[in-house]
Amino acid sequence: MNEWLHALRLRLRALGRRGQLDRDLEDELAFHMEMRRAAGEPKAPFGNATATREKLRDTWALAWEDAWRELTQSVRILRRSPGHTAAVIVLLALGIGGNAAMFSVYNALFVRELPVPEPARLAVLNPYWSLPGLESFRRAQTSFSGIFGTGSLTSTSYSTASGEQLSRVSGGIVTGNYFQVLGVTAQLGRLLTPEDDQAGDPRTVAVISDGFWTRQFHRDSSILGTRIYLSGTPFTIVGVAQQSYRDDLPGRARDLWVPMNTQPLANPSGDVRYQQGWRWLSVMGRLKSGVSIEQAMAEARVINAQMESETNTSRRRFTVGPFETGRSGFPGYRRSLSTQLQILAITVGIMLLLVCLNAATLLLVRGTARGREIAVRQALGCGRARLVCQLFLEGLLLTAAGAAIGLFFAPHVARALLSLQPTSDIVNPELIFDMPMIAFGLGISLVTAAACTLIPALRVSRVQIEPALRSASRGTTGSAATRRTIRALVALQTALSVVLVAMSFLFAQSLYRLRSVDGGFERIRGITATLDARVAGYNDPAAQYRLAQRLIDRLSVLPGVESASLALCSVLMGCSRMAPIEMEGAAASPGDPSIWLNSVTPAYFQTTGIHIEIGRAFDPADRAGAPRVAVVTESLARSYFPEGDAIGRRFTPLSARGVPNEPIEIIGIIRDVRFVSPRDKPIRMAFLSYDQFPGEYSYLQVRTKSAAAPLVNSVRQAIFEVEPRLYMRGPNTLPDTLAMNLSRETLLARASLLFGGIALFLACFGIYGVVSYLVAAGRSEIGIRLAIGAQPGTVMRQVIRDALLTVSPGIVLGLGAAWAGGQFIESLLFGVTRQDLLTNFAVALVLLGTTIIAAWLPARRASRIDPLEALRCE
Amino acid sequence: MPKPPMPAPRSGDLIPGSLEVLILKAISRNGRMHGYAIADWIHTVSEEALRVEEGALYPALHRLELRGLLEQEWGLSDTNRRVKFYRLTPAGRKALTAEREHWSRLTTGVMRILESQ
Repeated sequence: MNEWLHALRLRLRALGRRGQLDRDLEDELAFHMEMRRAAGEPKAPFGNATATREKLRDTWALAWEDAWRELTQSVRILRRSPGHTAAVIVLLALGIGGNAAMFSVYNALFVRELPVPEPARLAVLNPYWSLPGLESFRRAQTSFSGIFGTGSLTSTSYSTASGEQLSRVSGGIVTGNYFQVLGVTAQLGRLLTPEDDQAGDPRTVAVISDGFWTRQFHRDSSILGTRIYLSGTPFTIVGVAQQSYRDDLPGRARDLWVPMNTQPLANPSGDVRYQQGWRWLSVMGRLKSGVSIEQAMAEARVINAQMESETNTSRRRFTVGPFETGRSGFPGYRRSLSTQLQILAITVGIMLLLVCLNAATLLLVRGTARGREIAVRQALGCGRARLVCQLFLEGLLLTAAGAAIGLFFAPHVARALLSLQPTSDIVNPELIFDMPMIAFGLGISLVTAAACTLIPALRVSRVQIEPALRSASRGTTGSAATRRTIRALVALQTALSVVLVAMSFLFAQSLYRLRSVDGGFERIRGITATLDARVAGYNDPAAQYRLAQRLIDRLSVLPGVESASLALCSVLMGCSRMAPIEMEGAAASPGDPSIWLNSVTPAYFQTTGIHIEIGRAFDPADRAGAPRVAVVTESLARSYFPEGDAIGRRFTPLSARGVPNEPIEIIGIIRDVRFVSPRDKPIRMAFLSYDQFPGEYSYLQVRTKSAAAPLVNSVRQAIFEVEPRLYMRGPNTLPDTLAMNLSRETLLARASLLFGGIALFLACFGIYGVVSYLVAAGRSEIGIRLAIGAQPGTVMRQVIRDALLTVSPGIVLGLGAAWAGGQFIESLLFGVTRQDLLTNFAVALVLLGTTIIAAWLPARRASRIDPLEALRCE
Repeated sequence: MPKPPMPAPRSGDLIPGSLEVLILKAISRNGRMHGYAIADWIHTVSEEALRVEEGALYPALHRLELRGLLEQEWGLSDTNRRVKFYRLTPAGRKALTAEREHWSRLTTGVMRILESQ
């Protein structure tokens, strides 16, 4: 080892002074010649000195100078067959690009740290907190140097001083110490401080992000002091956060942050800061140095236990969930998207394997075609190791080119993949090239190069020198062993394609079944929108009721509309009011006493198409002052009255928002409705009449006479005419809304169909290449068969049958692998299982069909071989 | 690069592998030497039985240098040419001792066989 190092040092030194080394060698040999002449010895034969000098120069050469020579040679060889080279590069770009795209998303969500000092000291305090809980914990603890809470501003409208409505603004509401705890700095003006966030007298100030500053203000540095209206309240912009800081949640880009205590002003759905049981804050803390997350959690448990015993004010309570590191921000999408990301990562991984096999087959086929060249080199004394090296180098060159293209397109591919979600603004990670990304690119390129060159290199370098040299043509058809290897590679490709196609079939079917599941309501001819009247200043129930009447009167007469209704909770959207009840005449409530309490205008059941099974719907007689009545779901009725005598019974809601604690009579029972997602279990819900319980409402439903989509705009226009200040999200057609609810399934189905398609294409490509090769290899044999009277049709059938025989083990293997691997996706499937025979049969059929298509052209070529010409070649 | 096939040794040629030990010996005997002097010394001391061609001599010298057994030194000849001299390093001295033992075992063995009855 020492000797080796010594030599390396000397060689490196010589490398630095190449000219000097040449001069030294020259002088040394010249002196020798002079001495020989002086001694009267005979002159050395011509050329000897040159050969010696070359030899000496080689002695001093470094290995990589050799490598460089090899490299230029490889480039020459690759440039000799541009079509083939381009095909392999495109394949590799596809495989590497897909993987890099997935990794860039993974990197942005899981790996990259927040751009703040010492991110490792940040800890996420799971689960969610109430503001009072957070405040009491903050005062009691000693583990953290600072703790902040943050939430999202939902149902807030944004407008500029000139009245321009801003859409798609993402607002954060944060405790005053937010930026200080994180260590974020301002690039303009100042950030929020605890003084801005006094409980009694908060300042209406806002800090905006670099992105919003650029998008909305074109980086104008005179915007400090500008006002922006949140739900009608003016907030003064006091600063712009540092450029690199997007948000505390990777995958989201915030536009602005306002102090926590401005919540009732910025968000008109009422003051939720001190509402009982309202846990809505994500909380993060900065650990004091030397304190571990476990220690902090242990302390939090102790504090929690003390508070439980000291006080019975439930609002101060909090739950100590597992704390976790906050170095990459809140988990958010890391949790919600991890299944999809894993499946997509596995998919692109299989894709890359497929691409490698494909490229390997291509290289192998071409390597055999180059058999003569390789045999010549071996005959000239080129060692096997060196040959393998050379082929690996070629592979590396191809991979490098493919990787360069793939990495360049990776962020675009990632964005395209994410946009397969029906709601495009769900996750928007920052996709940039950083160290992990570069390391990934290098690593995957090396692995890919090795994966696609090793088999061909080992195979090809075993070329038999003599027969290869003897054969007349420049190319050879390779040994039987090589042909076996090629067949095996194609079978493997088929197997991988089967896995991807099977996966896409399962996801697509499951999405289809989810879409067609009967939710118990009409979901084609409908439009829904989210509304909030409080934004427009309708705060008391009477005013809200009058606005509701005006909205329904206006919408009901809209051409093409059959009926319209308003509700607190709506199908596909969700519900926000839950309360415990006491049921008269029933034993103490079974299990959880809480039920969902909806308020709906009378036309609700007609509009949503929910069928009343027993009893009646609301009628005009059920107005204010009349006996209070309710329609309930079958689940609710049955949970209290299994014998089915629920009609006429009365229940009393306890402390429900906007509902007095007085008895309500059950007048009707509806079939169970899958309220939000088709996967939902039936829920226990009571529908109250809005005429009897006026107050807030959140959703509008419209039933149209025919297709809903063309009416969306006129519905929006009509709402706008009634009250332009109303907060509104949507309106959307029910099918669109359903698609958003199925966004995970849709993403998976679309992405896997895309990858399944690519896999089929790759398989097709591979099979085509190999059948072409085998036909070329069997050319003379086919020629002889045609010469002695075989029908072209028979030859064609035989070639195709041969192709089918080659791929069928692959299909069987692939189905087996898909069946075994299917358990990982089983939980995501709906209404279809991995054992589904029809699906598996369809997959096999698709692959067999693909094989026939791929083999068709070469088979036809085989059937048209001219026997004379084929035999002359021999 | 692959090694060219080695022709069978003939009169004046060296036994394969012996050149390096001869070079080391020459230099240890005479101190500082240039290439021609080494070839000349081997030729003379072997009573003209061995001849070293420069095509073999210089690559061997440079290999020994790269292995750290020799070190170089430049001087001037009477005719004012640059001359490269070689000197033994401590590692070279050690290598010579080891090689000498190896060769004496080898030659003794070969001679025993050749002279056996």
